Formats: sequence, structure tokens, C-alpha cells
Amino acid sequence: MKEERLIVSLHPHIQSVETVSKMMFITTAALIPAAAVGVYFFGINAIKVIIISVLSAVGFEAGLQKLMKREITINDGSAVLTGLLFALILPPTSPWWMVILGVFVGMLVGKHVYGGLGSNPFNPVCVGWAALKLSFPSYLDISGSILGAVKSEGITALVEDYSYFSEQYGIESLEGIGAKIKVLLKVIFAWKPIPGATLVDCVGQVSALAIIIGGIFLIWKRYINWRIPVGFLASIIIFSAIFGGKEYLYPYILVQLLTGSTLLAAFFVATDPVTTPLTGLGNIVFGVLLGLITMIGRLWGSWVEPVWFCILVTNGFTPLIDRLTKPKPFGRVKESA
Amino acid sequence: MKTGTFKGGLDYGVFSVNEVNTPIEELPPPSEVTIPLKQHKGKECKAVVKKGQEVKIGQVIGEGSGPEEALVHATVSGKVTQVIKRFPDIRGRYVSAVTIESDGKDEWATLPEEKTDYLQKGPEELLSLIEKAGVVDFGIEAVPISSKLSLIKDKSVNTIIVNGIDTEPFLSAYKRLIIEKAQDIAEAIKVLKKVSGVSSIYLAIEDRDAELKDKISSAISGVAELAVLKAKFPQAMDRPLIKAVLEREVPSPYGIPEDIGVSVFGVEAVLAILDAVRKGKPVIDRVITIAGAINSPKNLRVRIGTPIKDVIEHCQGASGEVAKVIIGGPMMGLAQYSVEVPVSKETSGIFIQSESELATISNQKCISCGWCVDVCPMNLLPNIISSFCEVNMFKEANDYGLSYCIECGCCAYICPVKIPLVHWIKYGKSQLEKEEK
Repeated sequence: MKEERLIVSLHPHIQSVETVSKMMFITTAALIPAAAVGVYFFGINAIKVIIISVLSAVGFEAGLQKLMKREITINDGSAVLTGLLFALILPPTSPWWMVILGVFVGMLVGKHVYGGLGSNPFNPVCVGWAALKLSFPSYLDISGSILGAVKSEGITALVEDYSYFSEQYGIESLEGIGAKIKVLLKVIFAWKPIPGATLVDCVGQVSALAIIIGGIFLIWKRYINWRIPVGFLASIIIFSAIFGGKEYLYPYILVQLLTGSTLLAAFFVATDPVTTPLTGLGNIVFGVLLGLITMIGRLWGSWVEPVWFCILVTNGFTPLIDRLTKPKPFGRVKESA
Repeated sequence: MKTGTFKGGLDYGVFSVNEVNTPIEELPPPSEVTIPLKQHKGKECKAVVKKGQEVKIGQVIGEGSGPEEALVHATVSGKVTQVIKRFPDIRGRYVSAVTIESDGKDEWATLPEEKTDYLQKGPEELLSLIEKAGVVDFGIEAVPISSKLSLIKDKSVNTIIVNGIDTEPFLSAYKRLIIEKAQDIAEAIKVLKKVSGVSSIYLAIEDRDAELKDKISSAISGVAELAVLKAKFPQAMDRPLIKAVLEREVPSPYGIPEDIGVSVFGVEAVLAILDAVRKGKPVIDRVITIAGAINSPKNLRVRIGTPIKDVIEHCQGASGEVAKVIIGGPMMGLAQYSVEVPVSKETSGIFIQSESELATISNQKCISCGWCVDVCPMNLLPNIISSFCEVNMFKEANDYGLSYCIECGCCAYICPVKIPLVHWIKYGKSQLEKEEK
């Protein structure tokens, strides 16, 4: 055997096939069912918002990286994911310039001023949304949705005055396990609009089932941590049960859990690795805290769906949570004082 | 039977290359061997042979002076052609070595003879036989068995774990030894009991292989308790192993297993102990696995001192262009500069990599996915520690447990960004040491 020029480097000499871009593209793929339902309900408007958002996200990522003289990393898929997620949380009626502005603010203030992917303390999607919500509240208004109706008129009004469940699903009574399961099966695919009104919602959050399918797929493939969705959703259920009142508690919990942006936030946005704690315990704490803040916002805040803002607030707690949940190293001996 | 596991680590499912599972073959004695005089923890031995001298198999060629040195024996018969002062060992450091050209006769100094009365001998006599045979706990540390046995006395150890788990993925020498020599292992454990005075002995294996469990469980019943552990890397390292078998944590970062009354012996070392006391046979060979980009992966019994190029040739050469030759396994092994490096008591396997299989690194930032935290067997935050080391904040890194790291490489393996975490951590450790001086 001839003397080879051998490479010498430190172990480990093998590594897993997982990469950031694989992670990002698979997460993007998991959003396709939700996006497809949006396109089915809102048609060309939804397609427009999605395309504008994704293209501008990729464009701004490349442009800002060039401007800041950093390596251009649009191939890692994080810009595509940010763009798609951003489109899914906007109403299909959003004007094109607003989408672009929102993506720009999210990319600049939410990501690149901190140094790009991995350095941002706040979720860029939520930063972009918050900027639009504060600047153009009327374009982001979803008070005509079920969540909005429950917020302004209460669950009793929805069930009794609008006869929502009997008009839309033909379910007269919510008593008994059978009826409860029936309601769940009907609404989990999609909440119909209030009788007599048109559907008001954001592009990607019409169908709870579509989001859940994507989310479960990601948890199964271990691309997202199950602890944040579980902590967050459990906390939504618990706090809506505590604050929901005695009457029609079950539909109230369903509304809190399966409408608005709860599920999209739970599986896709709150699980963003960069802005969430590192440890398992930390992630559960994060999820529960986010659920609490979200319910407080929904009950006593002025916005119909404050969850994106609540994610920003909870992101702010991440360093604290990380500090408090720092794991004890294996075999540490207590030093005797 | 006992079961157990430890927190973190990598599931064997993640490794894409299959392990070698061929029966152990004997590699024919090579025409020339280069035997390093440091194949143990302590200082290097002094050569007791001269250039031109005729030697026979089993003849002592290197003697140490301290307790952490083990005798070095000739592994072929023939003529000493050189006593080299500076020969690169597997770590790339220079050690002395003795080169012997084989005369092809393969003659023993004293032919090993099977005896039956070895269990009647007293511990002192057994210990001297083990010392004479130059037995070490095979592996990268290579602590002489005599030194481990004296630690057992000093620290009043009451439990011994015989480790039957291969140190790394793709290595299977220990597994094959257990399957092929189940009866001998039972005998060996009896000897170990006698010589150490410890009666509570566990044999640890992994649950990957049904054949393995079947072979060994009947053979060792009544001699040792079998611990079948959930297959994970790095279970063969002392800390995770003791946690998995006994649910106890070795004090870290600087404690040793003996501190909590436990001692760990590799299964190959235990078999070498048996050979030493039953046949008077010194350590002249090792069973190693040759895996990776090689045409015919094998488990081979190789004479110590055989250049690894001979071993690779015997396995029909590498498949494709060789980029890396690693001694040990792919997770923790040492990449070699040269294929002239000989197999020693520290060599557990040879892993060949071609260009396309090389691990890559990137300078992207950590995305805090926490995967490294999930796999860390020491329950650390590897990404935080590595980030601190990257910016020369070694004190802060140590606050997060820099010195606890056992460098198993799980974090760097799983990292989706491909941050060289082990590199940063090793750098941090060496710099911290300098700062503290």
C-alpha cells in the first residue's frame, strides 16, 4: 500500500445527517397542509400573500446579509420558513405593501440587527406581526372570527343568540359525551363562520386539523420539541377552564384551543429553537408561561388574538428560564463549606 | 438479570454504518513487528533487548519501574533489528519501540500450557502471574491490571463491573469474544473474584443482540450477575456504565469509579487475566475490529506490533481513496498520520474513512435547538460551554461544567449546524489549565 496523505483531525469522525436546512425545509413542508387549506378557502388572495411573503423574506435575507457583509445563507431555508409562517398569520386581504413591510421589519429588527440566525432573542415572525399590528390595526383585524365573537359577546351569545352549533353543524345540544365528541370532530377540520357572515380568519389557521397533522409529523420526526406545544396547550386548557365561567365551558375551551392562532403558535412559532430555552424542563416552563400570558391577553387585553405578542414577551423570559433551569452536571459533588 | 440505562447518549439507530459481525479470525504473524515500549498509562518501559539479539515469543523486551507500567513482550520470534528512540505512537507523540524481524518459526520462550490448578492458587501468586503477563485494561487509557487491583484494596472496592460492551459503534470485538468464549469468561470471572477478593460482580452487555444474551446468560449464571443495558453510545465509558448498571454517579469531574467502591474491567482484559494464570501466556495479541471503508470488514486477532497497513491489506484493502485512518472508533478514535503505526494494547479497532464520508464543520452560529443538551450523558449544556470557549471565556465555560465533559462526541455528532463542539471544549480545557497555573 502506498503512503497516503492522511487527514488528521479531532473526533468525532462521523456526524449525523441532520442539518439546519433539512430542519427548516421539513418544517416548511409540514406547513403545507395548513397553507393548502388557506388556499382552498381564500383562493387567489391567499396565494398572493404567501408568494409575496416568501419571496420578500428570501430577498430581504439576501439583501440584508449582503449589506452587512455576512455570508449569504438563503439556502438554509430559514428565510423561506419565516416567509411562509408570516403569510399564514396574516389575513388573506392584506395589501401587498403591508406584507413586504412586515417581512422587512421582521427580518431587520427581528433577526439581522442581532447578527442573523441563532443570535436573535425574539422571534422574527412575531416582530414583523407586532410592527404591523401597531401600525395598521385595521388590516389585521379578525374580530369577525369566532374567537372575536366570543371575546366581544361571550360564549353564551355564540351558542344561544347565534345558535352557532345548531345552525352550522346541526348539533342542538352540547350535553353528553357523544355530542361533545361530535362537536370536536366537526370543528377540528374547520370552524364555519358565524351564521350569516363570511369567513374571517388568517391564511393558515382555518383548519386545526391541518396544523395538527403538520405538528404531529414534526414531533414524530423530532424536529420540534414536544414539550413546548404540550406545555402551551395544556396551559391554555387549564387557564381557559379556570377563567371560562360555568356556562358552556366545553365550547369555550374548544374556541380557545382550536381557533385563532393557538395551534400555529404552539407547533410552529413558539417552537422556534433560537428563541426558546435549551433544556426540557425549561421548555415546559416556557410553554406553560406562554399559555398563561396568552390567556391573560385574550381575557383582559384589547386585541382579539394577542398570541404573537405574547410569544415576544415570553421570549424575553427565555434567558431567565435558562438560568433557572440550568441542569446539574452528572456526579457533581456538593462542596462542603 | 438486571436492566438499566443512563440519561442522554445516542441511540444506535442513528449510526448509518452497520457493525461488523464476523467471527474472530487469526491474522497470520507479520514479517516484522514494531512494538512500542509505552502501551500503558505510566512512563515508557526500558528496553531490555539489544539490536541483533534473538528473541522468542513471550520474552520480555521492555520493563517498567512504576506501578502504572506493564511488561512488554516479544510477539514474534526472530531478531531484534532496531531499538528506536523516537517512534510515533497513536497519539502522534514519540516513544521508544523495538523492531523484531520474524524468523517465521513462531517459537515461544515457554510454550503456554493449560493448567487446571489455577483456582487453588492464592491471590498473591495469581497477581504475580498477571503482572508477569503484562495485562492492562485494554483501551486508550491502558491501566495495568495490577495497578487496578491495588486500587481495589486501597479504596475497599466492593463491586466489579466486567464491561462486555464495545466502546464504540461499529466495533464488535467484545461482543464476538463473549459469543465465542462464554465459558472462558465465566472462568475468568472466578479468577477475578479470587484475585480481587470482590464477590459482587456484574457482566454488562447491551440489549441489541439476542444471540449474545443467550450465549452468556447460562454460562455465567451463579458466577456473576448479568446486566442487560439499553443499547446506547457511550455506554462503555465508566461513568455512564456505572450509572446504567448500579444507578450510581461517579463523583465528577475528577473522581474515579473506585471512589464509590466500583471498579470496571473490560471483558478482553478479564480473558487476558485468565490466559495469564491458566496458561502463563503473556499479552501478545489483541482482538480488534476493522470497519468503515474497507473491502472486507473483520474481527481479527492481531499480534501487538503489527503495522496497521498489514491489517488493512489482510482485509483486502480500503474501498476507495483513503482519507482518514482512525485508531479506535469513529466517535472517539484518534486519526493517524501514518499507516506504519502498530497495533498496541491501546488499539480497540481501526476505522477507515474515504473522502466523501469525512465530517464537516461550519462557522454558522448555534441555533439553540438543544439537541446537544438532550444527548449529553454528563447533563451539561455543550453549546453554551463551547460558545464560551470560542470567545476565550474559559472561567465562564467552567462555571457551566467545562471540566465535567468526557469528550464522548455525542454533541458534535448530533449538531445540525455542525459546530465542532469537542474541538472547542478540548481547546477550552487546555487553556483553562494554563490559566490556572
